[in-house]
Amino acid sequence: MKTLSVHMVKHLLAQSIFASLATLALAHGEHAGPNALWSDSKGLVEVGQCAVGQDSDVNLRLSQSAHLQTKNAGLVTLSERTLLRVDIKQQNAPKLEAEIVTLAQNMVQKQASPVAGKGLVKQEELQTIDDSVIEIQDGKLIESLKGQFLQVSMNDDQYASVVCNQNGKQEKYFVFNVYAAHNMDPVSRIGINVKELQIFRNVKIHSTDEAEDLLTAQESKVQSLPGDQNTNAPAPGIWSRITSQFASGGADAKVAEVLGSRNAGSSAETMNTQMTAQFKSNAMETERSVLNKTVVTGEEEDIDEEADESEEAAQAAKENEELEKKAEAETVLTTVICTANDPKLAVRDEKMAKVLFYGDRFEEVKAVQDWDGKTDAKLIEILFPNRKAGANTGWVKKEYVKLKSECAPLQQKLKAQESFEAKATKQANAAIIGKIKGLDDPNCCTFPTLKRPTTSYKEGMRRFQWRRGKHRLHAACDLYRLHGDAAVAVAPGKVIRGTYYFYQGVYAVEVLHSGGFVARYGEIMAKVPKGIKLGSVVSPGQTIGFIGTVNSGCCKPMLHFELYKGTVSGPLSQARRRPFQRRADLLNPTNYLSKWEKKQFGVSY
Amino acid sequence: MKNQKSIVLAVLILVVIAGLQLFSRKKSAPTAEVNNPAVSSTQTTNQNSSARAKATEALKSASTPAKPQGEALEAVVPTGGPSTAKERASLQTMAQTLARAIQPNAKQADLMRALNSLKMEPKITQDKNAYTGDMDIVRANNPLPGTRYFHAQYFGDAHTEKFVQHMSFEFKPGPNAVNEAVAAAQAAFKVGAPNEKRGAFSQWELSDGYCLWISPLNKNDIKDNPFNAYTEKDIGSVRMAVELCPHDHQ
Repeated sequence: MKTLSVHMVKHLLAQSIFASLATLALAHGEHAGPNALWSDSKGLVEVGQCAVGQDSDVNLRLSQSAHLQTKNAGLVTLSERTLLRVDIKQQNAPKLEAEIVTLAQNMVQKQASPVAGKGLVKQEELQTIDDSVIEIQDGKLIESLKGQFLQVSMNDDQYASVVCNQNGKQEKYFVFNVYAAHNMDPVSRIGINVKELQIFRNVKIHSTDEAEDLLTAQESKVQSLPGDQNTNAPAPGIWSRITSQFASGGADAKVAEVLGSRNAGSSAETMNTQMTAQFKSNAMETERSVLNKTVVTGEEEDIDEEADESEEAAQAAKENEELEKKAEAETVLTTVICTANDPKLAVRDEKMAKVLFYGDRFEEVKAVQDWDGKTDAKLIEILFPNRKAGANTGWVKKEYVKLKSECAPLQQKLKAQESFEAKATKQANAAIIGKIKGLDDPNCCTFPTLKRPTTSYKEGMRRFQWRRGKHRLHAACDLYRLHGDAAVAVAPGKVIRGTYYFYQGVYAVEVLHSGGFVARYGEIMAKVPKGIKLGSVVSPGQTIGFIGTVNSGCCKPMLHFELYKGTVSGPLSQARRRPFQRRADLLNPTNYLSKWEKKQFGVSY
Repeated sequence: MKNQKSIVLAVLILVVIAGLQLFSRKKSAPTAEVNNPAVSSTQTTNQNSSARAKATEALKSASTPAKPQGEALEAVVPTGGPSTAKERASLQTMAQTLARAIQPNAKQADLMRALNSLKMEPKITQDKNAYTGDMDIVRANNPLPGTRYFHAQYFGDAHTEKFVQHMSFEFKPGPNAVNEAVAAAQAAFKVGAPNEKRGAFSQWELSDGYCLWISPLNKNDIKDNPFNAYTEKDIGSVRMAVELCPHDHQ
């Protein structure tokens, strides 16, 4: 087991150890095989043959002042953070069958009989264990684990699990990372079967923030230790064996043999890194001369910039002014076929010899950019996004392809429609304003997905304010649903910013809602529902996008839901406003979502 | 004698049957491959337009299943040949352009100046509203060889200085395109190994809340893109993007 120096411990404490622990647990997720398994009768036992389990929900929940409806003892009030084993077969049921795992002293009303520890509990009074750190206090067979901290191991935001052959039986084990108080790295991983939970009989459960405070209090103790000793030295036996194996990297071997695909991935990654390094050291060096001939190097530009700093500033100011003027003249990034009178335009092959098909006047098109970097002065290749693939590209004269805002005939046509549209918009706006008065209006609002999220948005990295390091906090609630599921408007409103690039290949739209609050619906697909565009008026429950999946493949599909009071104006993202990097009127959407969820589905996380 | 003849005849019949079976198997093999969009998309690049149309149809008819979380990314088969020195030089120039545009004091005008000096014909369109401010989209109409679809989104308003929220371009597909893009990014942004790597996807966390990622485009990535024109032959194009990270998924 690694031990940290006093200096390092101080440094780590200052940097929110447990936030880092949580991240580490995830970072290690790719190889989350356990090094030992827990048995209620034997304590820690060696790992048999295991295979990666299918990710699924762990049957453990924590109470938040919950009440357990028991058969024998009536209603039992549970203290906060009592650990419960629940039956999760009926995920959407308002009440779950539950059994108390931790000792009876966690109950306000003590129950002598273990039977009294079983009953029904409201799902809304429970929370998942992702954000909690379980400190092992004492108990039979767990002496070696006393004072260690356990946190459920996550694999790509799923609970890590394995199926192991123990004594001829296939059993599923959920993996928990084990931390010693002064060590930032997990010292091991333990597989725990939800049928055998004696390990949790006597525990203290901390939130990550509380655990951080706890460790801060231990700082002085650590400082006074002679020779930087670790008070959590492992007891002899299997525990010391697995921790030393873990530290040397050998402990995963037994699991690694059967975790074939994951290790294949890691080998590939290593190879990739090696390839990249090799490429960088060899190929790039030889190509640098080519680069220097074709582009100005960074150093040369830096020198130029220093020499002409004042002149540069004046020039930049002038250009900024011009930029503003130019920008104001253009409003929409939509390109169209723009003919003076002809209702159709012939679209031809590259040699302009053969007509492939005809495009409609004012039909939306996109300019194709070729890889060769050559642009023809007169001709342009275009794609008609609303036509059948395979027969939707061809060449036309450049003069017939213009931005919507620069196509005079189209603008004339739109102007003619303006009075009608203005009237319609006015009516629509009046309808929006009249509907609800704001977020606190009793009629506000509907949940932004058609079905309940598959996982709680109040915990883990899905929750608002999830901390990443010291500087960035999560500004939204992430609502996990299926890829392609509808994201719906929470209230009457108007699309004030159409689809734009948001993050890792997914998109976002912004909606001004009745009562003046603003919502950003993020991480949606590029596909736009019919009738939704910039300026569209939307009604509650109307589909405004489809839930997307980031291109890193890291995560489940989700709707990233941000809420703003609407009391200030300006961009929702604000790079320099820490820690959220969001506008000042950002709201925590959790309670609103919870209220809407309960109203719509009869239950909330 | 009669028996011998019968045996020879039987052997001959068996040989003919075996031969026919072998022949029919060979004939059916390509049909099976065409049914596989991944295979057909590679083949069509070197085949005639009708084959390309078939592949397009296959692509179109393919459903868009959810990317199973935690699974390896869908393999993207590069369709282009190796890049040229000129194209790699373009790649490095574009990576440097991205890196400079997110420097603390860099302005939108600096980016415009850089793109103009590269004769990339940048153009700005502005989407503005009274509630969430301005979003300026900068697009380059004359890309450098081997690159294309430069796109930058700047946010700001009268009270908030404009800052880049997203910026990206694409690099020509090829057998080593991803590695070349990674190397160019590492040099331009002065970063080491990526913070996150899954299959061919790599991401680095930069300062000021920005993330840099590189990924080859698959069939889902090119679908319905609101800004760029794509056909199936664009699968495998490598996108390099810098954007403000809304959250962390590691």
